[in-house]
Amino acid sequence: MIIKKNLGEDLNVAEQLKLATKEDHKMVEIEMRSAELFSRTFDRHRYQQHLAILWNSYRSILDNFEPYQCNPIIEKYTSQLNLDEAAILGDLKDLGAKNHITKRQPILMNSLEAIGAVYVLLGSSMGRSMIGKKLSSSIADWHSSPPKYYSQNESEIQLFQDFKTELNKLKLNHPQLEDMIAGAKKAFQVFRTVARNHYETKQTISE
Amino acid sequence: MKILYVEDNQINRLVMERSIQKYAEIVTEENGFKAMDLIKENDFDIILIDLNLADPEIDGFGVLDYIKENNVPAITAAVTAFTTDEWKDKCMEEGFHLYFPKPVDIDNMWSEILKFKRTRA
Repeated sequence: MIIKKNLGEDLNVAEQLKLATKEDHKMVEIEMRSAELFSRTFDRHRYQQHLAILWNSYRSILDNFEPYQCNPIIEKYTSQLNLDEAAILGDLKDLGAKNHITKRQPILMNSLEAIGAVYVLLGSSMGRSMIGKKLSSSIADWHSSPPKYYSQNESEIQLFQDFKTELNKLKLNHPQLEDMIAGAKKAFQVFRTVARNHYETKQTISE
Repeated sequence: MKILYVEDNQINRLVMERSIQKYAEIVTEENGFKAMDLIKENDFDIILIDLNLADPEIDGFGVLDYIKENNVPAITAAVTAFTTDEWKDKCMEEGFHLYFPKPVDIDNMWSEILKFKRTRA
C-alpha cells in the first residue's frame, strides 16, 4: 500500500535540500548520540563531549568557506556562524577543555557546495533554544559563567528563515542544485566523521 | 487529553515528549502505518503529524487520509519544516485543522490547540 502524495513536487530549493539530506541528518543524530541530550544520564562529561564534536565540526567546515567569501550569501552568514563557533569554544573553555583540531583537507569544491554547507550549519542551530531550555538547569551548574551556545536566544530561527528565503530566490539548474546538495552532504559527513573519531579514539580534543 | 505525535525524527519526538507532557499525555510514533494502528486502538484528542515521514510509502497526508476516511474525531495538526504559505494552504485544503511550522514553540502551539478546541466545541 502506497499512501504518499504531493511531497517531492514543486519544492523550493530549501525543501529539496531538506528532502535530499534527510538520511544524512538522521545519521548525524545517531552518530552524535544526540538523543542522550534528553536522557537522565546526561552529565557534564557527555555535555563536554557533545560541545567538542560540535566545535570540531563547525571549525572544520568554516575553514572551508575562506575561498568563497566573495559569494554574498556565504559572506553574509559566515560572520554569524563564526559567532556560533566562538560561543561553543567559549563554553568548552569554561568547562576546562583543551582544544586542538586535526587539520583536514578542503572538502568543498565551489561556492554552491559551500552554500549547501551553510545550510547544514545554520540548520544545526535550529533546536538550540529548545535544547537550551531543556538543559538550562543542569548546564548552568556546570558552567562558571552563563552558557553561550545553548542559551535561549531565538534569533537563529529568524536567521535560518532569512537564509532559506535567499536560497529560494536562486535560480538553479539541476547540476547546480546537485552541487548544493553535495555540499550539504559533505558537511553532514564532517559531523559524522568527527563524532565517530571522538567516540572511538578521542583524537580531536583532549578533555 | 491524549496526544499522538507522528514524527520520524527521534530528536523532534524527544523534544515534543519532554515539552508537552506538562499539558497532556503524549504517545509518539515514527512510522505512518503503525500510527494508523495506534489511531485505530486509541481515542486520541489531538494528532500531530509531520508531513515528511522517512517511510517511502507513506507521508503525513497519508496518515491524514486514514483519519478522514475513518471519521476519527481528533483535532489534526500538521507539524512541518515546509514553512511557506503554499504549504500552509495545502495543509488546510487537505483537511488539517491546524498547521505549525517548525521549529515549533510548544507553549504557543498548545495555546493554539486549546483556542481551536474551544471554537470547535
